Amino acid sequence: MHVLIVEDEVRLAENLAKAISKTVGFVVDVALDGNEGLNLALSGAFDAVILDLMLPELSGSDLLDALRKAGNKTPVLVLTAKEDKASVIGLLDRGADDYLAKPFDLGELMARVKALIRRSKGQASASLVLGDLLLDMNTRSASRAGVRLELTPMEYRTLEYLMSRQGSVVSKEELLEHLYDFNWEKFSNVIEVYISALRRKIDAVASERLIHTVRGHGYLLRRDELQ
Amino acid sequence: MIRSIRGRVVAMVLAAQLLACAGAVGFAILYTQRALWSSFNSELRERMIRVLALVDEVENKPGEVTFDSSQLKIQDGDLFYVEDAHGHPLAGSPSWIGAGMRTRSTPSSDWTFQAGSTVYRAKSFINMPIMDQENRKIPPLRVDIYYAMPANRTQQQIGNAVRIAAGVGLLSLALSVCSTWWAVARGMRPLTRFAHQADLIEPDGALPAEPSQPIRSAELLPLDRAIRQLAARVQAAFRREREFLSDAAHELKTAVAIQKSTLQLLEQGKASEAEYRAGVARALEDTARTERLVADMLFLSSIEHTQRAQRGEDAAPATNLTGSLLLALDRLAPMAEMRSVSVVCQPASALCVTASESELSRLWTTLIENAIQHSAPGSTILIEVSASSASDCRVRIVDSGSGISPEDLPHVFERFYRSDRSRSRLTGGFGLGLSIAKAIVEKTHGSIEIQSIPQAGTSVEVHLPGSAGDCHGSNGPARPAQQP
Repeated sequence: MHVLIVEDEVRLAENLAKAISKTVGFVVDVALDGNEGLNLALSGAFDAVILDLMLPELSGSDLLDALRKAGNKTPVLVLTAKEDKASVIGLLDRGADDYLAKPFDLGELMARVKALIRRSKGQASASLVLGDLLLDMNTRSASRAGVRLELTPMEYRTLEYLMSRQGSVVSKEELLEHLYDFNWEKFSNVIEVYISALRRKIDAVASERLIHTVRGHGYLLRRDELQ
Repeated sequence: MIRSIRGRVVAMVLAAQLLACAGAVGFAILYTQRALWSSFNSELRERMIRVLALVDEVENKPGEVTFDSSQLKIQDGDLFYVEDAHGHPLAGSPSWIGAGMRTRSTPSSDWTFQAGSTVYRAKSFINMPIMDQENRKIPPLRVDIYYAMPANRTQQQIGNAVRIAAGVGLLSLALSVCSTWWAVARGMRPLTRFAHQADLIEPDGALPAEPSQPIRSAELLPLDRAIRQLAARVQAAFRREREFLSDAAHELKTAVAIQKSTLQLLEQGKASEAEYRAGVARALEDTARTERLVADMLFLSSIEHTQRAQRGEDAAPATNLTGSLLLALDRLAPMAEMRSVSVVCQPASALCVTASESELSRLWTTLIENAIQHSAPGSTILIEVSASSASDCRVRIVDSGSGISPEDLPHVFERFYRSDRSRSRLTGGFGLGLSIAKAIVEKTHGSIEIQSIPQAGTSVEVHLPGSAGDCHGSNGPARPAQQP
């Protein structure tokens, strides 16, 4: 999962990025002003945006307006210093999905971001299930037929994204966008390496194949019998 | 003590009316009295002439006079008495005339007396020549005539006239008091309505939502204008305070959010001792930043408060301008050295300004620090000090740094305004420095002005009231004027 933090306070942005990448395992990009934030958010590479309201150049609420006007549906969590009802209602009406008042609790922020991403992918629970494959986003672990899978962080991230998008084809580019931040050199063959490793760990020991390759399009996670 | 305008107006009108009324009534009474007495007197004289006409000479005795009583017609109640020149009575009775009156030698006199309940008015003709003397050889024959007429009726008439005049006067007075009372109440109605409208103004200066009735009284227009201006000023002040509060809340909450997130980050997961140490160091850095923010806000608030409180009151202590400038330069020398910026100060002879030394050096520190931060390495900052007139000290700080964009320039003195946010974040600024500088300058009744060309440099000019000469009591340290 890929999260964008738009926050002009460098220190706060650093802390948020560190907390999210370290404890939740999401990939994080940081924008220090409104314009940069809007350009990044419009790329569509993000699963959630954490947005500060008081930003230089382009204010958070204007960014939100522009984002929603462009048809972007990325869930947005707003960080605000104002807690009064009117401004909260105004924010939600403008297209924000959630808000947290400063000073917030880091744990709560991460839980809300996770919930937002889950909901936006159509999942109600923190554990994703496909046949006998189980992925728990809270403990960041996966198991197949009751056997715990030993996954590297990158393998887990890949599986988490594929599981959250189960039933639809995910291209290599989409995977790259959602698994790496923008400063990373992107090589699409890295994805092939992770997919083959995941296949080895998930499909090799079981009777049913879950990871499918759609030639020329990408990858698909679903149960065989539906094919 | 509360005085009613209505009461005062009515009292004034009443006093004026009373005077006018008394004058009119007095004049009317006087005139009536005169007119009545004059007609009474002419009637009296006419009757005396008629009596005089009855006196005739005795044909055979020259010098003798006689009275023809057969033709005498005396009105009821009249009294008369006629005597000849020798004092022999001819007709009537002298009993009613006081002795004093008869011995008088004046040809004609009037007097009033009372007999019983009747008041008489009497007149005497002394030595009156009789009317139809035929014998012209002897000197004219003369008689004395005394006549009295009851004056009760005339007195009564006069009394009635006085009563009527006074009554009419009092009635008109009462009428005018009533009408004035009513007119003033009616005249005050727009004022009452206006007061009611003014009552509807919110404590924050907001005018009532529904449009108020337009003021139609010319007298109330200035008041209306004044109240509207006052409301607008109150509103503007409220808006400024609200904005400041909202900005301050944002800054403070952000500062706390940073601290909290730094600590919570440390709490999560397992960290090595080195990581903990680094985390604690970061938390301390964040705390120092919060501390600076709070200190800046409180300083600004205290300066702005004293500015309002001690306006025109006891003067601030006198401070050596050059001394405070050198103190600031001394403090900033390491920073300038670190950024390879040289600061050249050209101080004038001793100048004395009325401001506290700590505030002045804070002012210079802020301005010079800004200049250093926006200067490229290797460039020079020039500080000129001069006395532009007898009571005006001028300090110019000129840098050839990055300058301020024209869009930002009008806002640089606003609280929490940052022209380059990401950069001032790195330098730890909150956008309060220039606000504080301006507050200090305004507290000393001076002025501050910034001119800037992007990429060419900025020049800050500060004017402070002061005078040439040494200050007693406060002296800045004597240091070399040249800083690296």
